[in-house]
Amino acid sequence: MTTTIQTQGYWSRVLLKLARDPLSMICLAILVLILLGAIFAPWLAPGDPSVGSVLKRLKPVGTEGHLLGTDELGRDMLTRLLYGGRTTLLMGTVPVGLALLIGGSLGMLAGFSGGRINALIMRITDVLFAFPSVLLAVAIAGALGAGLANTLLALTIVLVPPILRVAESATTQVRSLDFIEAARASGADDFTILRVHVLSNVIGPVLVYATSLLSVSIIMAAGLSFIGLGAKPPIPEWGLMLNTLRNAIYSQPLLAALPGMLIFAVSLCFNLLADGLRSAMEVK
Amino acid sequence: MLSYFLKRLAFALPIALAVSALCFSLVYLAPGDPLSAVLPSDASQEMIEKVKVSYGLDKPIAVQYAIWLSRALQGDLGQSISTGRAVASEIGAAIGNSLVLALLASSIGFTLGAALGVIGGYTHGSKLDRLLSAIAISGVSIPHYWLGIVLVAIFSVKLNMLPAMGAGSSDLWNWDRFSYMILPAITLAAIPTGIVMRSVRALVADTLNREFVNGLVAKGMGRRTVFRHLVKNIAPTALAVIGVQLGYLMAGSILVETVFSWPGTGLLLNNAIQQRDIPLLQGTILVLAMFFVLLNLLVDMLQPLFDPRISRS
Repeated sequence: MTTTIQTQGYWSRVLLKLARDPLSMICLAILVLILLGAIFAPWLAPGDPSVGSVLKRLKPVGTEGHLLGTDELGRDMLTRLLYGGRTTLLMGTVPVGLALLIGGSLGMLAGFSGGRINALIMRITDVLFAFPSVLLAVAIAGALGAGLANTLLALTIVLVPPILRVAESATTQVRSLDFIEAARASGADDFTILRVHVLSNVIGPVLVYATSLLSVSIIMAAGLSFIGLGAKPPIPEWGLMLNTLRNAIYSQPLLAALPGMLIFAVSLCFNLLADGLRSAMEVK
Repeated sequence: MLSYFLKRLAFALPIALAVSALCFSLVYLAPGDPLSAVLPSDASQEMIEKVKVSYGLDKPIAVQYAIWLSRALQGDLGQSISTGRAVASEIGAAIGNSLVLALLASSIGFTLGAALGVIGGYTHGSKLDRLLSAIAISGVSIPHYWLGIVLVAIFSVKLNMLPAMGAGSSDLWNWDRFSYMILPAITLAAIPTGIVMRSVRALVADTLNREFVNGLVAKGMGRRTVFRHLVKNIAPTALAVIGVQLGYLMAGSILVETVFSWPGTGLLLNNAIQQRDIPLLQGTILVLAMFFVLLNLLVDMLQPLFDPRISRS
């Protein structure tokens, strides 16, 4: 990764370039649409996510009164998909945000202090890296037991090490540059240097990297609910819905595939947007 | 070369120890006291006392870890709560199935990913390249547990071509048993295919721009010879990528094996979660994590044999 000293107006040029990339804008539009659907679910949803009817189980997509059909307990699918977006998006994005705060600060601390503190932090990170991410998430969430808070915790622990590494290497590169010396010579203390000079140069690569983790995080969050960790019934959550509708693939394959389609759409859009952002940041 | 091996080994040993300590601590992470985590709820007083003594639960935690580690090294990973059988033998019965599936999936991922990645790299920037990149990014973005369900809906339910779940009844390796592996292997191959495609494409495009390729072309070498040099340059990295992916596949199989009820370590983990069987969870996690540590070590050690540039740097 190359560290370019970012002049003022850099970010506005990056955003302008991103705004001119049609694919990124389509992805952003889809994500905003799904997010708005999740936020305004109580007003948009035609029904109640937890009320079903035994008489109306597994109705196909396009049934009158149930635009996207009904699930295995006769609950309206559109309603549950809208509400489910709240849980899935929350469980997928909050760990990235928390990991960004924790991993970003620890990484900057490690990179800036060097020496023993660096060695200590980075060796602990190495241990967490020795686990494949899914396995670590399953281990922690599996031992703690199902539940939203446990899943958030497990995913945050999984996401901290990769962000920490990126922040540490970016900080190490910036630390030795001339303008840090200049700031120090003009009387700035460590905290000011970190807050003003290091942060402004480290935040770019770390943010882009965190964006690319959103896709992984969403897939893992829904995946944990799919195997019975994470959200518990009757909470609407896309991964959990995918699991409870599994037996319906014989009678209503399209209906059973709906929650997964949304997970795929969100994950794909996050990935494409992260790619777009990365190439937009190559502007000089 | 030797010093490189020793350095890498010296790095792996403390990591392996720390990984085992983390697995050990899972029992303490579970709600309730460790004794209730490793015993069934209807355990007799006699059994409780026996476990307490043999696990050293009345001793300090460092001693407990030492006892646990020395038992684990001798192949004793405790007893499964749900089946009452030794965790080690449960894992022994399952790990072969997972390994076969992961090997098949990484072969598919490597072949397909390398082929499409080379095409993308050669046609860098073209329409075809963009289409291939779209496929690659879909491969890494797709929730593979959903892909598995979709494949079952198409090939098992609609077309009735392949079995939807299980592993067949025969222990022999014949077509019948193989047919059970096809869908889970394709599902599992999606991510490595995308990852190999993306890295091979970048490597090929980058290598083709290098001066030595221009030199070879200027010397009058044919396309085929240039391609051979290209393969020599990118093969070590591509092999390392797929080598590490094998470890991710073993670990990530928990979702895919659950979808297809494939009797491997992933299904074992799933059972452990459903039954709150902490010893089974702990043992399986330990074995899979150690597999990953060893695999990384192996990849790092093999790489300089293929690519002398690495040990020199």
